Amino acid sequence: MKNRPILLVEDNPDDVELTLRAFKKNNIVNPIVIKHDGAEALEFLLGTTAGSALKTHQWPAIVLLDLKLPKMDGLEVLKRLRADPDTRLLPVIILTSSKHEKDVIDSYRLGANSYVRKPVSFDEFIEAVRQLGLYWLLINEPPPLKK
Amino acid sequence: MTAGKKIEERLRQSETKFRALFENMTEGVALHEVIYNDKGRAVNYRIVDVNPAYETHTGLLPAMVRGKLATEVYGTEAAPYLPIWARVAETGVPHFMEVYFAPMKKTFSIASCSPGKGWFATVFTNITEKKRFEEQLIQSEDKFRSLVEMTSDWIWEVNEKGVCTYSSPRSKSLLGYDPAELVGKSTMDFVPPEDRKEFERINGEIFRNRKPYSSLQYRCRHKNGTILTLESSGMPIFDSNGWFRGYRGSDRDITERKRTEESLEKSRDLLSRTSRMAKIGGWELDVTALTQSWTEEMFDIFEIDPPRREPKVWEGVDFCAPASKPIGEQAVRRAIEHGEPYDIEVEIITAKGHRRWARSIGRPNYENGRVKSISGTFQDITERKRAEQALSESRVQLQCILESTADGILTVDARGKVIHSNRRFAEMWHIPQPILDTGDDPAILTAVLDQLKDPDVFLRKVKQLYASEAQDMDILFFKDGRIFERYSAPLMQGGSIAGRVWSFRDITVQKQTEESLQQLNRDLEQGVKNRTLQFELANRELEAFAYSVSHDLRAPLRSIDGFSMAILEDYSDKLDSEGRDHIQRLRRASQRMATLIDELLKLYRVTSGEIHIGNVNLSLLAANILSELQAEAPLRKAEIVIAPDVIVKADPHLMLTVMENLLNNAWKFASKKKKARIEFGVAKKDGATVYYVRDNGAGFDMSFVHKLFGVFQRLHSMEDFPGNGIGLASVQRVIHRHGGRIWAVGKPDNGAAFYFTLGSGIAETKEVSS
Repeated sequence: MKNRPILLVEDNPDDVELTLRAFKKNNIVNPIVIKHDGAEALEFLLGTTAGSALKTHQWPAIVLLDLKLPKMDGLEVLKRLRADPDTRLLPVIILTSSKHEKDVIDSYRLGANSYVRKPVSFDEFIEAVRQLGLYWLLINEPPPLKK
Repeated sequence: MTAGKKIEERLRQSETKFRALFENMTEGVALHEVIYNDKGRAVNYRIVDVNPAYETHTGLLPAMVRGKLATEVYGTEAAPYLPIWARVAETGVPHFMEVYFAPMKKTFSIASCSPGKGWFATVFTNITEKKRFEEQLIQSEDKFRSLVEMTSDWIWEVNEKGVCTYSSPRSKSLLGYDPAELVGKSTMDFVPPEDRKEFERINGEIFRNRKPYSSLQYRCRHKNGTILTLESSGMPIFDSNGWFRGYRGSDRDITERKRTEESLEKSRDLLSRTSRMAKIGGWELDVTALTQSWTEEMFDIFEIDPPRREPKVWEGVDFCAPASKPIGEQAVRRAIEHGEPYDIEVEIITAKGHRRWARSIGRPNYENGRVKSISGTFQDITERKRAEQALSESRVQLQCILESTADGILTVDARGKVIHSNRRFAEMWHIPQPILDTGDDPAILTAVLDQLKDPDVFLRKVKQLYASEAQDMDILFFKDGRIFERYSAPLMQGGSIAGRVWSFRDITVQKQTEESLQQLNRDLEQGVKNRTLQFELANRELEAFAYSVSHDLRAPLRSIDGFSMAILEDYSDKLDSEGRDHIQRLRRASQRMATLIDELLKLYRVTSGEIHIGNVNLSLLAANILSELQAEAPLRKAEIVIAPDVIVKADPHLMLTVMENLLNNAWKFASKKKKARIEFGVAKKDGATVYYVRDNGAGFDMSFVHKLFGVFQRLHSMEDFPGNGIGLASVQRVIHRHGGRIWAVGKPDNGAAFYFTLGSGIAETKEVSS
């Protein structure tokens, strides 16, 4: 698990930077793949190009998916992933600013594995990322994905 | 004296005595000597002596008759009564007789005796007068008797004790008793028991008064049991000494008369009552005597109380009201002078000043071709007159109503004749007066038909309605654009159709208004649809806005905080303490702003979500919230008072927000009190249920009470009591959404109380969030 990448789908560069900092602070060393919108993320996972995870079978350990994204929003991405047999079991953690009830419900309904709201306080964010890494990368037994 | 002398003396004395008697007797006395023939047969007698009274009785002088033969004295061929006297003289047997002595034409009572053989004396009295009286008496008695027996009256006599001593035979047919059965009985025995007391009283009075009486009526039982009414008259009887000996009188059967009288009385009474009911008086005016008589009812009508028996001739006329007086006067005068009957209605003013109407009818009665009297009736017709007046008034009112209505109204009788039409009808239909004047419905119909857009349909309908009892309504369209509403109903009189009423209303304007109103409604509906759409859009935008606030406003804050922290971590050595403090402030500010954003969103959700009403136990909520607060601060001591079982109908989720905010505040603001007290309760105010949360904490200044429920409004410093100024605003919104009211009362350092109601009809129960 330590070697498998983490896919971070996030359009805000500040958030990307802060998330990376939080990973680092928590000694998470997995490679981080960053995609800035939903389309990019889908392309990375299920794209027909040679480098896609579908082709390389290098599936990320977890997908950290923001909801508000340019071009294709996070929920749409989630829906596509769950519609595809290859990514149906892929752990997707919604990481978003929204605390909107509808978003929470929609996410879980579409098959999100977890829903984490980014706290404004960076201390709290670091703590959240720490627990996420600990759980999803170490404690959790990942689903078997097509090699 | 010798014995002979003595005898002689005695004889002389005795003779003297007899002689004196003889001389002084009032009866006539005659001494006779019978004369016999040679064969010893009495043939005559001689009058030897007579006394002085003889003359009185016979009219003959004694001197002329003494010594004479009877045949000589009385001038008869044979001596009167010779055989009788001869027998007396022969036998000495006295004889008495009353006899009419023809030669003297006198009646005598004659007693005869014989003083010695061949001698006889007669003692006699002339009883001619007495005899005549006696005969007359007998005759008159016979007459009386036959009268008594022939008369239909019953004649009777009673003694002083009232016991019957005589009854005429009439009693048999009258009372059923023979006279013999009545004699010895008292009248009282025949009076029916129920009348006896009264009869006894009257009878007693009569017997005490001993005066003649007449026309006494009493009832008496016939032998066969029927009750008769008798009319009695009587005279008291006194004997020659003046002693009262009873009564004599006659009774007459008046049963039939009585019955007739009674039935007459009855019919008179009936007549009187009838005329009273009908308020009809009767009167008669005697033209020659110029007198008038009225029945009682006349006095009643004129309210003359008490009635006088002799009304004046012109009295009735005098009661006439001024306007009626000449009419009455003329009618009566013409009746008297020309025998003209009359039948008039006059207004009178009664003796008591009341105005009444009366109908007076007079008819002359003729005698020998001349008007002798006028008789008539006089009837109080005030009621009828009033009814007539009311009828006429209501007719006028009806006329006015019909004329003042905006509808055109036409009434047609069963034969198609116009009974009535109002002015408006003619105006509306433009009917020329001449056609209207014909009063002929078909003619009017023809005149108006071509004004209609569809005359045939109208005509058909009209014909149909005339043949039915239906009520009917229709709309008529005119060529000139007018629109009439036509209503028709049968004219019912006494349960049968007497015609038909047509009414027309010009509804042109109304129809136009209706049309434009409908257009307006359509426009309005479209407007509402558009607005709703806009509203929905706005709601959606608001939603999107709220979403973007929650999502997008937080991102920069995270950056500020995150990178501030990065600076502190990575470049700490390059910053002095002031620089580090600034960075810290940046971080606090950004975190606080994040909290504010969250609270704002919460407030928005409180305002916009759907309300679900259920039973909410506020007591339980309060207890839970306070026990959680207590658990968070186990060292704090506070007195908690919660009214039990306060259950309301409200949205449970929103009420939790309310209770949480209010109790958190109370808990917070009472934190600095040594003896903190927090209370949740319920009270009644002006009939409404008021819930309250009260504490004895920091309180607030009432002059700032208006700021209490404003968003981000705080009355205390952050240092003293942290908070964000959203809580009470949220509470107020929830209460308002429930149709309730919230208000606060407080005093600095003396606690605060928050009161709220939950309206009876929850204002937004049916609201559906977009």
